Amino acid sequence: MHSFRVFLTIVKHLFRARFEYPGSFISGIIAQWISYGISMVMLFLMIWNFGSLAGWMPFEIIFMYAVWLLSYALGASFTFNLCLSFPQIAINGTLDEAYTRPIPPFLYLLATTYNTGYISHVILTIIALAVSIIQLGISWTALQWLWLLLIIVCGSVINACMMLICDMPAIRTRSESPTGIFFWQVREFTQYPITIYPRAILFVFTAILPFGFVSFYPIQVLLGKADGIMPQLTMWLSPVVAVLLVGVTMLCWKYLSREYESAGT
Amino acid sequence: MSGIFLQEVDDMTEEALGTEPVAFQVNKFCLADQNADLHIMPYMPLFEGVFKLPTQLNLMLNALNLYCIIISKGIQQFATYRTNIFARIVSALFMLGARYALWIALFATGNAGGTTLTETMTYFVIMDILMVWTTSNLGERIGSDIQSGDISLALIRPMTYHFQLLSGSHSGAVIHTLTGSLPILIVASVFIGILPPVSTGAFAVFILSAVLGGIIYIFIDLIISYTAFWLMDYWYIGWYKRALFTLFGGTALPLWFYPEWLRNISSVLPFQLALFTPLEVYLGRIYGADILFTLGMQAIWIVLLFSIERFIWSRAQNKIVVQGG
Repeated sequence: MHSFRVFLTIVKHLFRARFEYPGSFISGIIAQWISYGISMVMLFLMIWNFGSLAGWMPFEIIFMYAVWLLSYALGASFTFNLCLSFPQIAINGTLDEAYTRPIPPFLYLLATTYNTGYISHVILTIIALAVSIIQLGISWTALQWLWLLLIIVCGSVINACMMLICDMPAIRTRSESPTGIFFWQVREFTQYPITIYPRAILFVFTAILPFGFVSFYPIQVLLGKADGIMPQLTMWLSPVVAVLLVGVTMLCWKYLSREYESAGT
Repeated sequence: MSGIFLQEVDDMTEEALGTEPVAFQVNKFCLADQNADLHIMPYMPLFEGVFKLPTQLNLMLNALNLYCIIISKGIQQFATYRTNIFARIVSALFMLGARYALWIALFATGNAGGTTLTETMTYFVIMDILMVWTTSNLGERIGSDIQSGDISLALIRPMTYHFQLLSGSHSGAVIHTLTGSLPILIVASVFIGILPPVSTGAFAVFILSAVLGGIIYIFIDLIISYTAFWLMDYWYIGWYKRALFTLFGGTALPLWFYPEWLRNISSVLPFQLALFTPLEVYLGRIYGADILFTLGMQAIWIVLLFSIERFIWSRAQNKIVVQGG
């Protein structure tokens, strides 16, 4: 509990520090709104041109994209800066610093590298979610709204854990991690209904880089879809995948901590 | 004159290794090169005693020499991480497969209009090669140089800052060509069957137009990047640039899929001239007299952007505040 309070305090101060330079903070937020907003427009135009993609209407795709981006933003706000710093933390002594703090070192790293900029994604995706939900004329039960909330949480956890797992080797190799390269480059292809891909790629997005569980599989429950390729059960597995990945991330961190040798900085 | 700070840079090189972005290390390397045992290219002063070279030519050869050194150092440095090369190639090919599957699924709806799947895939494969060479992230370079104070060092080097920026980004381009676009081009030609250029003449015009497009891109990039001198922060500069090129330049979706009104707006802006127009020439969508018109437009925009760039740069140089770097 104490650690958690420290964690929140650090994050709070990071936000305050960012607001010290409002001009820069706001330009950054607007930049991301424009950039992601345009990506959404492009995605919409692409599907709209062809009418649909694998039976998904343009606004269904936008809804899925919003969930996909929101889960990424929530997860990445904790892990993005941290993963970026992995090649350096052993060299410049940040990791040594974390080991000497009175809260768990991993928590300390997560808190101090929290990225406040992702607030822009969150605002943008909530608008996109609202627009697409209105356009689709959705009327859900309370349980379905809860499921939406749950998949966003699970999606964030999946994104955060995958980012950590893929980039963690960099702590040891002290250069960009090859799995990290793969992670960053292929991730964007999971914003579409992933059943359009050949079985091998579908397998990768289900079992190796399980981004299918971030948006595509669980959203089928909400939009009443069935891909007809994967068993029905897959739609419900997001929470299980999230829990599993947390376990794997913890194991990886434990292993790296045991093997860690300080650079003496 | 470069000898004065050669030693200093040489001392820094060891510390810098592995801790700084590639492009920056490359610059330090090239200056340290003559002292270190890393000879790649013969250095110009070798010829100086034998032939009396005109100063202008000498300077040009010198620049070329430095350019080659910077690029070869970049490659050497990258080549030390072999797994990363492998990862890049695998993910490039994976992405090609995914993109192909996506467009197959889209074309399966039968609403393609006047274009074909092969044409679209050709567009993306060739676009990929063009983007590696024309898209630069000067914003991030300039921004980080300003914030770290390295810009003061960069400005007193015996070559212009812009030359250092360009060589740095080309050394990245060589690497990305070898590990990304080249494997994609080969695999795409064999397995997907992309279209060759419509004619030899069209190909020649395409190359010319692509070079002009690259110049347009760099000027736009520079103009946007200079805002770093006033904002003192830089990480988001690239976002604005990429957004503009995605919306008006056709880097994410070919402009022929755009609705009429957006197409019209794009056609009066310079962004589509950088990458989209050369590709239209390649695919034979622009031909005959229109080619001349296109090249003319590119030339006019280059002149216009160049004057804007020079104007802002003259202002920017006086704006540099080095924060104790």
